[in-house]
This record gives sequence, C-alpha cells and structure tokens, in this order.
Amino acid sequence: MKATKKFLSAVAIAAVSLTASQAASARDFGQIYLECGLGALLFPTNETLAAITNVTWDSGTTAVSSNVSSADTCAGGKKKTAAFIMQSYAQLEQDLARGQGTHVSALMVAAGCPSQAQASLTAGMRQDLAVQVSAPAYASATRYDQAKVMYEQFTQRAEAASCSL
Amino acid sequence: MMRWFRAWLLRGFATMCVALAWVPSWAQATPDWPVQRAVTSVPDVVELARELTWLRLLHIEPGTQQSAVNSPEFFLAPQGRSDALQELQATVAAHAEPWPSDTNLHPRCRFPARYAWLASKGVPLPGYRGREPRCVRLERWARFDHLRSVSLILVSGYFGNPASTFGHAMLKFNSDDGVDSAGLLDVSVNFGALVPDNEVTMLYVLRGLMGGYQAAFSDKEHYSNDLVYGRTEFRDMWDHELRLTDAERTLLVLHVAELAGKKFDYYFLTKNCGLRLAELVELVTGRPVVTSARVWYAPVEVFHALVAMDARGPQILASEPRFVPSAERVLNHEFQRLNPDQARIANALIAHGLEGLTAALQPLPADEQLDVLDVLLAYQQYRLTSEGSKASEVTRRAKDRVLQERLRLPARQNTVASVTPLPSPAEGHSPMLTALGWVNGGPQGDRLRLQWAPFSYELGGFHGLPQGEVAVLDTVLAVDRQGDTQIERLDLIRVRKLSTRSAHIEGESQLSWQLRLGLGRQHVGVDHAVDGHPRVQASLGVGRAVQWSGITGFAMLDGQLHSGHSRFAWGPQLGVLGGSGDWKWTALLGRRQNAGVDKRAHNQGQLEVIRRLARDQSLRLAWEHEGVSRLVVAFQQYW
Repeated sequence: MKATKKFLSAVAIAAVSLTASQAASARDFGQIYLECGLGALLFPTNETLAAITNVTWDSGTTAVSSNVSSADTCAGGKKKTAAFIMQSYAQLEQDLARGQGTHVSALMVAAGCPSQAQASLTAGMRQDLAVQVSAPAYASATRYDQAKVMYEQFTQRAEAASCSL
Repeated sequence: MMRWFRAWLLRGFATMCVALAWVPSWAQATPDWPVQRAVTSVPDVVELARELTWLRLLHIEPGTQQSAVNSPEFFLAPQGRSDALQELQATVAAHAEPWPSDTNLHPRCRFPARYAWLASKGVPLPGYRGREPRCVRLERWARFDHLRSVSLILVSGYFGNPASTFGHAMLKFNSDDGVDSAGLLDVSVNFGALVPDNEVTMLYVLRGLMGGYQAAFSDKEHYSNDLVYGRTEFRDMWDHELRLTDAERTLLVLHVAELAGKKFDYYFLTKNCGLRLAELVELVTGRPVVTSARVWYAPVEVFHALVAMDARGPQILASEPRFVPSAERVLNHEFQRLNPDQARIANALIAHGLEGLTAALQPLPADEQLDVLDVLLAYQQYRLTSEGSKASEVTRRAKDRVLQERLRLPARQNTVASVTPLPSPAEGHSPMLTALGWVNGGPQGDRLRLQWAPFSYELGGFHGLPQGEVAVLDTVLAVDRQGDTQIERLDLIRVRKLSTRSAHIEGESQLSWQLRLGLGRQHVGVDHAVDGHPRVQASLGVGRAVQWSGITGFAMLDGQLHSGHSRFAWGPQLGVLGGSGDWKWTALLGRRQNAGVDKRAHNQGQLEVIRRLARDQSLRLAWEHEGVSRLVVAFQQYW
C-alpha cells in the first residue's frame, strides 16, 4: 500500500513536471505583453501596457534593446503570434479582407501552422473578423482590444489545426 | 530485498520522469556549421592580436588603438578597450570558465564570433563547438538552420525627419520560411542613435551632428521595420542580397549577436548606420568597403561601395536589388489600375462619404466591385496612418465600413500586378560632387567655376531621387582671369520635392515644394552689372508637378527673403525635365519681382544638358540667364 502510494506520488510529480512547461505557455494576451514588454507601437491603447514598451519610433536613428537577450519565457510561438497580431493588425485586416496576403502568410509561419491547414485557417479568421467588424462596438474598440480578440480566436483555431504554438 | 529493489526502481522511474520533463533543449544535438580550421601549429597570439579581423571584431578605430564600443561589458580584459592583445588573451582564457546557471552568460555565448574566428585560426579551445547548444538564446535568435542569406536594405530618404532625409541602411537575415515570402519574420538589424522621447528638433539636430548621442545595434522581426519605414513613413526600400560564403554569413550573424545593445558614439555625418554596416561587411569579407568618412558618410555610400566591388569582382551582390515599394506607392499603383468607372466611383465615395457604398458599387461587375473595395480599404488605412495619433473617428468608421463591405463579399486569390521597380539609388552617382567648369559671358568675362557639395542630388541628375533635389553646402566659386575669386553661390540646403502622383485620389494633396537657404549673388544691378555682394537668402516655393511619358513639368510660386536692398522678392518658376539613357536635360524659366523700395524685376532662365560619362562622371552644358546670359561647360566628378 505504502509502495503504491509512493508510486502514484511519483507519477503525479512527473505528470505535473511534464505539464508545467505547457501551463507556462497558457498565458493570456495581456500577460504576454506585460511580461515580455511588448507595448503598443502605434496608438497606445492601454496605458498600463503602453508603459511597458521597449519600442519607440524608429526613423532610422533610434535603437532598442536586442531580442538576443530577451527572456526565455518570452520566446516561442504564442509571444511571436501575439506581438505580430498587435503590430500588424491593420495589415491583417487588409489581407483577410482580400483573402490572402503577406501578413496573414507570415502569421501562419509565426504560429507554426502546417501548410495544408493555412487556407482553412485564413478562411476561418476571415469569418471571425467579419463577425467582429459587424459588431457596433468594433469601431470604438481600442487596438489592444481588437488584437486581443483576434489573438484569442486565432489561437483557438490554430490549436485545433495542430499549429505548433 | 525484493521490496528494496522495487522501491529503488520506482524512485528511479519517478526521477527519470522528472528529469525528462526538465531536459533543457540545449542537450539535444545541434548540427555544427563549417568552420575553416587551419590547424597546423599553435598560432602566435601577439600576431593574432594584430590581425585586421581581430581588430575589426573589437571595432578598433583605424589609426587608433581604441575600440569604438563604449560598453564595458563588451570587453573581458580590464584594458580590453584599448589593448587588443590583452583582450585576445582574456577571451582565450575565458573559454575555459565554468558554466554559470544561466548558460547564456558564458563568454562562449556572449562572444561567439570571437571564438569562431579564434578556432579557425587554430587557437586551442578545449571543448569548443561551433554551435554550442548551451547558448540557447543565440540558437533561438539566429535560427541557423533556417538562415539562407543576408541582405543590406537601403531605405529611401524621408523629409519628415532631419536625420532620415538622406536615407537609411539596415541588415536583414533572410530565412527559408516558405510562405513568408516577404521575410516579415526575419531578423532585421538597425544601427541608430538612442534619442530621448520628445526631443526638441533643433537639439536633436545639434546633438546628432556633435556626437551628443550614444547609438546601438538593435534587432526586431522585420515586420516591425517594414511597418515603420514602408507603411508609416511611406519610404521605398531596396533589398541588396549579399553573396557570402557559409562561414562569412555565420560570422556576420554571430558578431551582430555580440554587438546587440552595445553602445557606440553616434555622429550623424560620419559614425552612422552606413558606416557601421559597412564595417560589418568588411569584417566578414575582408574586402575594403568603408571609404574614409571624409566629411560625410551617407547611408547610400555603403551600397555604392558594394556596386563598385561587384563590378571589380568577385561578386558581392547575389542578384539585382529587390525593390520594395512603400504602401503609398502601392496604393497609387492600385488606384491607377482602376478603370475610369471604378476610379469615378471610388473618388465619389471618398468625397461624399460611404453611406451609399453598397448601392454605389452595384453598377460594376462583381470582380470590379472587389477591386474598388480593396483600393478603398488601402486608402482608408493610408489616411489613418497619415493622421497618426490624431486619426479621426470619421476616418476610423470609414475604414471599418469598407472593411465590413469587403468581408461580406468573397475572398479571392488574385495576383496584384507588381509596382514597376525603381532603380536602386546605389545605381546612381555617389553623393559628393566636385565640378570644374568654364563660364563664358556676363559682365565679368570668362572665368573658371569650381563647385563642391558634400551631398548633391541635383534636379535632373543621375541619382536615386527621381523628381527631386537635395543638396547640402553646395558651393560655387568663380575665378576670373586675374585670379580673383568670389563666391557665386553657397546653398546651405536646397530641397525640391515634386509630387507627381500618377493617380488622382480625391482630396489628396499633390503639392510640390522647394526651399533654399544660403548665399547668392544677384547678377542684375542698375545697369545689369553684377551687384557685387553676395547676400543671404531664404526662399520657399509651392506649386504643382505632372509627369507624362518620362517628362516632368512643374510650376511653382516662390517667395524669397534676402539681405539685399528690397528684402523680399517673389515670382513664378516653371520647369521641365526629362532624359533617356545617358542623357538628361532640364529647362527652367522664372521671373523675380522685388517687392521693396526697389521694384525691379528680372527674368531667369536655364537650359541644361547632362551627359553621363561613367557612373560618377558627367559633362554638363548649360545656358544660364539672369539679366545676362552665360554659357557653362563643366566636368562633374562624384565621390
């Protein structure tokens, strides 16, 4: 009995350990921005988040710290995807409206989506955006809010499509 | 016994599960890259410390023993900044340091380029691996397995920022990411000054010129830079892919990792992005790229150097530059491709609002409706970007209305026709001008004319600024037969921007403008003699320009303040310019009316033909008239 209990405990420890790395990645959009210092590049929409920005206007003469030394917890598909959506939101709107484009293609790569799933993912994102844009609140939503919704909808579809987020 | 063994087995199994969960990624095997090893004997470190590559790795400034890097963390030896040998010895010794808990902080991970080079020179580095798996962040950032090539990107000039007027240069690590054809997720690297927020413009200019800023290399995923340069500042870009060996490419990437975030002094004219990127190319290729930064090292200079190197061989450029048009240029191109009915409807919607959007599109076939909506969406986004943080609610709602309508209609996989590429400014002449000419005519008689400008993209010249002009410190001296020398002209700054948007977009300004500040000499006096005294003058003109079949025409109204008698003058100026192949011509006609006590007016004219002899040489023949007529023949050499 004691040995069984110990065995089960060991398995539980192992299971928790194995899932710990996955749990660490299940942060929401806002957490990623706060922890990884990704504020709004344009039109700061959330003062708290915008205060933690490591990006300033770069007209060829400014510089920011390097991603070479960025924190390990800020690496990986979800951070990359969140940052991309936040900064490229306007371009993603245009691409999704047309049904194709360089930014939506890059998003698929950032999320590690298999090539055979990309067309259906794009179509799905287009449908999601159509619903969002039709909502009366869309026009007054901040960029942060719009990007947050797109990120959450996309990651749901991406995980279902076996993207390696 | 059996109970003990079973317990041991269970503990071992549990331990193994835990260990497996936490196996760091660096323990997985990573392939190595080719390192050229010439291990015939242990090299003399004193000799190694004198080698150009080592000095370039430390950024020791030519003619000095001092590194240009200010950050103390870039050096391992106490005097490493000024003692290349000490730094080399410290680097070799540091290779054997124990690994800290954060393995990324080990010198092998902080200075990977140094160790790659030292290993290639046969320096004993026990346990050295080209790709050290414990350098997790480096591996993750550099993505060596996907790295395909490296590009230098030339960004066109931008009048919205004094420091960006003369263009910009950055580096990009191109990867083989399949569908990411635009390389938006590639690492791109900038070198720029660290400028505080809300810096006053005049202070910004002064501190930039006088070395009042620190600068650093920074890296972002390319879409961030694409967003700023191409889609916010609306600047064109030219991607020049470099032809590098695997070892050269690797060394470049490793060295950029070493430099990330390290501080340098910044001087806008000389120690700028162009110079620092040229140094990187020099480092990895061993070929001289940095011409001495005499007065000014404009960003385009590194590209001129690459083109010249390519011509001399061996090739340094992998292919023709890839033109990346700005979002504004793409919008104009797409608008121009609309047929007259589409364009009329689009402009009417822009002018009168989008309430009747669906109905307005009804007369068009389905495909043409999509064209109009795609263009309107691009236009509304352009408007939002132009309005910046002051973007109005009206513009936002207009964009959303178009977006909603477009999403209601089907997606399509059409191929948008590419914008006709513009030639890279690197294919034009170098920026510094010297000219030697002969002037015939005028009350002073024949004389020699000497001209110098550290930066001169003159109107109608063979350079990378079509329909534009930028000249700085453009100085013209005249020497008569007696050897008397006088200043004919000194333009501190001369800028002309001709907006020749090909598509008519309702409400969009097509204003052209020109400004000039400097010294000039009025050649018309009471008896049409030379006034005799140069005067300070500042002029500003606005007008319109059109382009048709390779010929550009413009009309401006100029106002001028000057230190002469009447203080203010004004008048119209008309111009036409064109050319073909190695020939360019410009015709200018104007009238200057004094507005003060002296109400004299005089006509001005110029007819000029330039024949390009070589990339940096041309012959100029001109007829100039300002009260009196002169003929000028000049040989122009660019540097």
